Amino acid sequence: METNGTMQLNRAGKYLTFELKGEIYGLEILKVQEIIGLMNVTRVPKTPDFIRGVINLRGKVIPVVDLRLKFMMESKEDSERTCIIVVQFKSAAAAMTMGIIVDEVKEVVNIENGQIEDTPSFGADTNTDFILGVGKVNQKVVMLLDVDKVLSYGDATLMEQTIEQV
Amino acid sequence: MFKNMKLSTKLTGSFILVALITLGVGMVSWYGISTLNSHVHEIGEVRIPMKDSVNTIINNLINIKVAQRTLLDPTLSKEERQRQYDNVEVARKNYKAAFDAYDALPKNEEAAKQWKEFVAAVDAWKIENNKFFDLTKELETMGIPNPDLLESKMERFSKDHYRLTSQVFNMVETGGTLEGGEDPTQCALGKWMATYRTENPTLNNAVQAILEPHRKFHEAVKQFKLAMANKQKDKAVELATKEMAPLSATVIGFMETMLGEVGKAQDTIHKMNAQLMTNCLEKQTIALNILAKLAENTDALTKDAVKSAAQYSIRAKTMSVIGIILGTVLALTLGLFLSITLSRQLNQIIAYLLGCSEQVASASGQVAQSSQQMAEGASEQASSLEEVSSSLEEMASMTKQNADSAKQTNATATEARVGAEKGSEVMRRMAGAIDKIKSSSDQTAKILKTIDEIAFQTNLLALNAAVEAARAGDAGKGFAVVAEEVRNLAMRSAEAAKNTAALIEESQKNADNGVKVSAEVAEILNQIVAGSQKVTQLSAEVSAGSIEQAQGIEQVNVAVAQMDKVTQSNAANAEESASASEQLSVQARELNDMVNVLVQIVGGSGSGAGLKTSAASTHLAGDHGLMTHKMEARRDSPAPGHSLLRQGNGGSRKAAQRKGALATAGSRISRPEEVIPLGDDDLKEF
Repeated sequence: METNGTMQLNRAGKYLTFELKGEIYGLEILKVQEIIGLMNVTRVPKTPDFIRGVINLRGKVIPVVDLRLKFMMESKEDSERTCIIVVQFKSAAAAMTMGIIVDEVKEVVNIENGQIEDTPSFGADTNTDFILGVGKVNQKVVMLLDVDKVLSYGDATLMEQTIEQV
Repeated sequence: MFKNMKLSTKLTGSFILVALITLGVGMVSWYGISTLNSHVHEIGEVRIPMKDSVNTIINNLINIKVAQRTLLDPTLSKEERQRQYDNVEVARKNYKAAFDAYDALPKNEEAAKQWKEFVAAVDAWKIENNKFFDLTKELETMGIPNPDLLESKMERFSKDHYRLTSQVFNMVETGGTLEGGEDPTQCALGKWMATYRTENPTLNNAVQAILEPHRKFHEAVKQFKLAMANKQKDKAVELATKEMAPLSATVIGFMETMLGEVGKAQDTIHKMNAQLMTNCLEKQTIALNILAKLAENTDALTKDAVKSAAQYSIRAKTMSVIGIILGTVLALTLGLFLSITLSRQLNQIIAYLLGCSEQVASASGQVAQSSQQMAEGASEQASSLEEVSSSLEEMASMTKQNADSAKQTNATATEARVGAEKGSEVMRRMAGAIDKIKSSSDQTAKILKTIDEIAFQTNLLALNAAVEAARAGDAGKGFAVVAEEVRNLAMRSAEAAKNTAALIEESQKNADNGVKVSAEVAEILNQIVAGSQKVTQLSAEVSAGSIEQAQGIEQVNVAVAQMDKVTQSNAANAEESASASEQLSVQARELNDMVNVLVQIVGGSGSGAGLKTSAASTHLAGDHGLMTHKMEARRDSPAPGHSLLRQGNGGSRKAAQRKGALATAGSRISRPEEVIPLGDDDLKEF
């Protein structure tokens, strides 16, 4: 197992797969801090919808994002399998810790380069930077997300503001 | 106001008015006539008698004058003279009467004055008249009424005898013949003397004296003639000279004597004439003038009176004519107005009556028709009622069957209910058991859920471990493996839990199913119970209903019987109303006849509204009779065994009653035929 703290074109590695609206997505394992089950989320006023709120994780206040809403998918009721993946990422300013609400956490898979394809382009107007690539695991397609880019700059700032508000 | 008076008042008033008009006209005329009468009276009683008297006086005075003049006629015989005296007496009497009458009459001033003058004049004249009459009496005493004649006769006789004598002498001288003269009786004198009578003694004597000489004379003539014939001329001459001449002279001498008397008489006559022509005439003229003036006056007065009478009569005529015209116009106007008013009113009333009678006739026809229809309807109703009663009986039997079936249903339903209740009891128990299973499954599921949660958390933990291991890098490889294994285990247990959960779920599902099914069954059993309860209830209701139905049918039967009665009475009433309508139409006909009579009275015998309703109503009556007969037949045909309607004897009795009603209706139908000729006879009497 190679462990790289730096991003390379080499996208192979372990990815934490989770399900969101029937689709499997993957996150770099190194970015994942921990996985916790759904707990009470404190709603913060005057925040966009996809920011569910904040949680208290062992004394730390972490914003939580509903990835469904972020991805412009329809919201779904939280089930017992709904988890919060606490990720760390670097925004333009500083490192941030953020929770992502996902439908179900699957497993940690090890994806080789050969199993990763580049993101197809959908035209000039669509921005697919946040997709690292598309991996194939067990005949299933896993969209590998770049956490850093999933949340855009504006969002990150918003996140900071949210935290500061809290 | 005029419109509100009674007819008798109107007529009486009008006639009184006409009488008053007549009275007025009559009074005008009467007044005129009475005035005219007074005028006429004046004229007739006064003026005309005046005139009459005056005229009479005049006439009589003239008569006296005429008599006097006549008396002057010497040729009058004694009788004639006496007649004249008589006439004078008569005239004097009449004159006296007229004189008295006139004297008695009222005169005006002028007339009175004239009258006085007249009286004086007449008295003067009377004196003269009396003188005249004295003279006439004197003449009469002389006995020679017509001295001139006598004188002429004497002269003639003298002449005759002279002639004879000269003829004789001629004969003597010249020869020739002499005709006649021989017979003294043939001589005029002889003849005359034979017949002459007088009261004058002188004359009588003379005549007597003449006789002999005369005879002798003529004898002499005879002798002469003989002599002449015998050619005894000398004798003849002798005769002639010796006998005839002296004889003739004697005769003539006597005749002279007579002539003397005659002269006296002639004197008297002259005196008479003179008297008459001068004195009498004078006085007479005066008197007659006065009388004439009087007569003129009277005439004038009479004419005035006549004129005024004429004027008044014209006025009276005018007034009468005016009165007559006025009266006639008034009376005519009144009569016209009255007759127009009355006849218009009467005509209105007649028209209205005609309309009413026609309406009544038509209405009675309609009533007859409708009553006929009612009768028909009633008969139909009766038949329908029979049908209804038969249906009701069927219904009653049906109802009984229904009640029995309901009872059976009730029993069966009760059984079913009991069974269903038992079943549901069992089902309840089964549900209980299944519930227990379910609850234990639930508990198991809960536990499984716990296990699943544990597995999940373990998975998470394993993932976290993997993350840490990945973070740890190389050092965490072994840890990663362990984490992996833990994850596997977690996955296995999760799997197992899932399977178990699936199984449990399945069993739960089955249990649920079973519960559901049992619930369904219980439901169904409940439904069955409910249904059977309902059935029981319903069958109870049905039986109750059947009982009620039976009761109701009973009541309906009663009602139908009543309806039957009512129908019969309806039929009877329909017949009665038909006969009444027949009577009504008869009355309408009579009314029409009376109205026709009235029309004839009002409008003369030319007008007459025809009788139109007789045929129609008799036709209708005939139809009605037929209808009632039909109904009778239907009523009498016995309907099979419907005892509900047949009220035993009542039915046949009713039939008999109805037959009787029909008979009277029939007679009532036949009576109109008798009524019509009666009406015509009445009309003919008018």
